[in-house]
Amino acid sequence: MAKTVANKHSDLKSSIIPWLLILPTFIVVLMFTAWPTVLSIYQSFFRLKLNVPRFRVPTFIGLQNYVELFKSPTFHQVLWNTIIYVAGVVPISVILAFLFALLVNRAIKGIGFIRLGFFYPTILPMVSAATVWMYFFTPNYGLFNLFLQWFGYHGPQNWTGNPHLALLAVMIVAIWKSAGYFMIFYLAGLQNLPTDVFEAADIDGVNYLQRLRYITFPLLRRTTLFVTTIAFIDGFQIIDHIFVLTQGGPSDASNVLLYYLWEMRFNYQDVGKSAALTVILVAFILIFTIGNFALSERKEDRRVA
Amino acid sequence: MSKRKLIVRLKHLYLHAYVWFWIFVAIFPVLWIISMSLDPRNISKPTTLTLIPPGASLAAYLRVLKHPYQGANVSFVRLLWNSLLVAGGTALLSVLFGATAAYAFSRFKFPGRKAGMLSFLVVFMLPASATLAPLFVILTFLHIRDSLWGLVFAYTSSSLPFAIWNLKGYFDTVPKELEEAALVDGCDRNSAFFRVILPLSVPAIAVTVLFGFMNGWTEWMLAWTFLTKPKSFTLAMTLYNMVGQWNTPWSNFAAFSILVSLPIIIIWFLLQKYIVSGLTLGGVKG
Repeated sequence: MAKTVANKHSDLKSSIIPWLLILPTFIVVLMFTAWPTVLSIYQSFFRLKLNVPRFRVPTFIGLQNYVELFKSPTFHQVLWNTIIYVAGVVPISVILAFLFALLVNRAIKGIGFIRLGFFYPTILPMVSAATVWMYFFTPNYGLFNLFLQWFGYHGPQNWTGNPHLALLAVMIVAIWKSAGYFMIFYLAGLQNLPTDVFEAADIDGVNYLQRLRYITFPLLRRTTLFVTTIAFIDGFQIIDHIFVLTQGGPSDASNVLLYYLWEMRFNYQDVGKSAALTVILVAFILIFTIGNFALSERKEDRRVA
Repeated sequence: MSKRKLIVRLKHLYLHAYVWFWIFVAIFPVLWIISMSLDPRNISKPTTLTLIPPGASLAAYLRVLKHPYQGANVSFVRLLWNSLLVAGGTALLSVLFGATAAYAFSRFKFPGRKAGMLSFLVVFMLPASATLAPLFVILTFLHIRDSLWGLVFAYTSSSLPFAIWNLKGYFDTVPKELEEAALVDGCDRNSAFFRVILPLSVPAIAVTVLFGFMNGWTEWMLAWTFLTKPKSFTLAMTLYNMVGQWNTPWSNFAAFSILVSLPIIIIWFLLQKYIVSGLTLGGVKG
């Protein structure tokens, strides 16, 4: 009997079945992810502006689009804003997610509703979330300002209109929106942890913080890899709230890479430059995801060895 | 009361304060939306929060159900149908394509398996919105830019890497022996997959469905950029349409926000018991 099974398996080794199974995914990803990326690289070498009659025919200009971008002060500001935005939103929302998961990882009555409460910002479309926050940020009667005043805040109140606060305002909304989403992954991770390790730790008299630091967190390394990857990609790609709150303003103070790209393509109709921006954006995302994976896999190897 | 008891009490008190603080911060805006949606005044500049507004009513819900979209004649049913099509299509295709590909990566040994897996996870994990400029050109070329199908494919393409990652991790936990037993008992590979692997993987599939659906349901930027015909507008687009430059009719907006999030809340409660167990985040290795 066992032999038949083995034979079936060896037949499958050389078969084309796995390729057929992957084929639909391959086609979709090829057409709607790979092709757009390659097309951007190609278009980024051309001058093509749809709103300028003499630039309506694409002309090869080599790296000119990239050179012009890197010379423009607006692009510098946008890059800088993007780095601040991602460097702020990713770690804060991931840490909050972890804390939330610890909070709701208990079996008490009504925990389903509390979890839903934390997850609700994720369910709410970003446009809704941003609009609600737009109201919270309103000067004079906005609830966010009132809340801060309880804690002794007396700074400027026009969060979305102040060049020093606009970026912070859109970051706050992004953090509020995404922490509950990442919480789900940590909650799943926590519930899949082996309980015997914790029992052993209890017997050894390990306190709560030590347990988090030396047991829980290391065991959740895979979850953290996943969550940081998703958080980073989302940090670059979710900009709906910028449309609602600031439109990148005032004077590009809250403009980030993808919003700038959108403006370049659909307001200024500059296909060449928006293609170059797409290439830059994709490069940013790839460098991070590949780096994150490589780093994590290497750690894994070392641990196994 | 002994000193130790007091310390324990204080610790508990602190923990409670901490829990309630976060619950307040996270959930307060949600309470506010619910409160506004019941407010009969539909004011554009609310200054106070009364949790249950005077004369609370469902008037705002009725208003937005009757006339959801300003400046275009499109019914709520139409918007709902479009959103269901986009979200349901994305969820369905993600599960269908994701499960078959994940099965191949989990159960077959073939040349290029590891490289293929890695490239699906790492290289193609690009969100559709990052490549929206070239997508605009490609979907126009394929004559699906101004249709809901264009959105379905764009969303599916960006949710597949996650779906494969998670489903493969889950399939890996289903013992091979079960499948082999089914094969011995005369099942072919196909029915072993449908009768053994799939039923055992319901949690992972539930997660894929939920995230695919949420992605299609709440996405706004691509839809807003690509769609021009009012008859293919979605619910998320309607929300943006309601936001005024200076004045937003708050009760209408809040009511509509709640209506839009209701289906996902329902799915959440239906799938809740699977969601946490269905996220395995399997490794790239193995």
